Amino acid sequence: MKTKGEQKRLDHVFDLYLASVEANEDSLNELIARFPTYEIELREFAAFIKIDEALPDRDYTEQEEQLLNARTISIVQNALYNSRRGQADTVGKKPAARVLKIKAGNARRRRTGSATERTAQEKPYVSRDLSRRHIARAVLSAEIVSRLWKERTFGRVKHQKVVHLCEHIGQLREIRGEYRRQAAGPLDNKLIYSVESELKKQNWFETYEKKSPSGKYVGHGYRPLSNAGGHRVYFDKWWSQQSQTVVELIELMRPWKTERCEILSTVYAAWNDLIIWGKPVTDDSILREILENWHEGKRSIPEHRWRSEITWIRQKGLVPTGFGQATAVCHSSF
Amino acid sequence: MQSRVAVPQIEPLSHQDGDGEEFTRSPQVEAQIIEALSLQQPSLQQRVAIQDFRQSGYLKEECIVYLIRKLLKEGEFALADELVQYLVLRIAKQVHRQLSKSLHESLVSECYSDVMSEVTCRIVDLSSNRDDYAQVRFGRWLTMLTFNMMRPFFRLQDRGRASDSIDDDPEVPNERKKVPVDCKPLPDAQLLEKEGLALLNKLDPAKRTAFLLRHGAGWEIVAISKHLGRSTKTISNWLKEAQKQLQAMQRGAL
Repeated sequence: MKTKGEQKRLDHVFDLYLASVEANEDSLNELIARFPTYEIELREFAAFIKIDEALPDRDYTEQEEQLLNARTISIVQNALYNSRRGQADTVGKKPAARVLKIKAGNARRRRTGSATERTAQEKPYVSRDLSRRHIARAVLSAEIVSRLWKERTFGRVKHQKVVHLCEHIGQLREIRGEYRRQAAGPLDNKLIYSVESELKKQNWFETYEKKSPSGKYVGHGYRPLSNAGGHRVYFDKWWSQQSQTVVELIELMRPWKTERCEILSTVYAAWNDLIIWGKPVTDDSILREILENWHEGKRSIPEHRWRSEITWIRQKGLVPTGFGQATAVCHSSF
Repeated sequence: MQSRVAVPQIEPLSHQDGDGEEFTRSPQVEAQIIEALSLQQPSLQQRVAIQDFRQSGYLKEECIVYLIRKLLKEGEFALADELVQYLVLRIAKQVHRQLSKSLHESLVSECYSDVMSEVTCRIVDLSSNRDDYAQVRFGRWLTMLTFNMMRPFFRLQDRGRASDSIDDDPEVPNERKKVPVDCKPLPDAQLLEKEGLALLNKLDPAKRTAFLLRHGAGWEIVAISKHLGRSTKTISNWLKEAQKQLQAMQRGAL
């Protein structure tokens, strides 16, 4: 990790390189001689620039461009929201104290590797360690599957909905799901498939095709493998503060049919999106988001069921807080 | 009586460059800012919405960054947010393209989120002047920011799935270690131009990096070997395999 001063010097060196490229004089070797400390960074930067020039630009179809724009707006709205929230948190506090607190938190986390100490004041996207995210997802998933795999109603769709709700209600920052608005509610397709593969790799659980007595395929189920339960040590260690909420939520949903999970997950996500975007939240605006802006399949569920779910969320004290990223329209490429 | 037209005051930049000089905006940007400050809100929105720099009335990104920060200071959050959105939509495809070239497709989406989020956070961060350069040379500022955000992803990519060459195995008899240390220059610039990313993304991430560094950036095998922490022989083999794979794919054999 570079200090601010080092990063500033490095940016200055990069800037000199860019200026030389713009003047059609590649000064890489000269700059390496002048700033030998930054040789590696300079070489990488030069490669990045050259590759960008050498490869042809990809073309975007109109649909791809629209989707990219929609996703961009979603990212920016999240960032603006988090930025405001970060500023609001600091009202009445000395800036220096805040900086120290964040730095201390970062240092502590680097030392201990504990993710539970992350505070709401920190910027999003702090962790870029994809492998850690991958394992965190697998651990959460293993906790859910270990509790629900015997349930007749538990399959891949319910699994995904429970993961979504655990992540958001439990505020598990490590999961970082990227959900899209699908017919059955918020779905992170990559998440569920990568998690299933990791469950098998760790010898915790595997999927199998459920069949009716007549041999007809009726969905996916899960069954334990030799190391089932091995995830718990990580679960307890990483989410000691949130584990009770997560477990209660899983148990609450234990007897539910998949459709009920889909309804809760959808209402929660639509509501959460409105908060993230800073739009007014009313029962009607949540309903509009679900019935008009989600997926046409949502209209097949009667309006009163959506309304009663909104009421249920309030009664249970599970009102969304704008945690995580907003859901995006469905597309696999972006 | 002499008429007086009030010229808006533009706050000077305060951050210093690497030589200790304070950044200064170009006269063109300053002129655009003065003009923009005189516009009514609907006109300003229309002007900022212009994405094509060849169109008349186009406002440069440097100018928009200034306007966003000024609006935020004055508490005009809704308009500032709108301007931020216009600005990021301008750069969306450029950033996505750049990432798609250097990163394997499995990493592009996440890195894109990080870059766009960082761009937003840095522009609206009024507690710091460290991004004053965005009002001087927005394009360069964006390129450097994108690269800095990509570096952790490069590390992930370099740890990609491609396995070491059998020639690295000390147990393998010497007769099999006859791979040349360097490859002849390959005609793959043409191949890249024709087929581009679709083919490249079918390679393992690490092989893809090696191939791009060799044929996109012109690195020597030794340099690639040092960079990826693999032997020169492994890199040579990867390049050969990548070349074969790409050519086969190009012929439609795969």
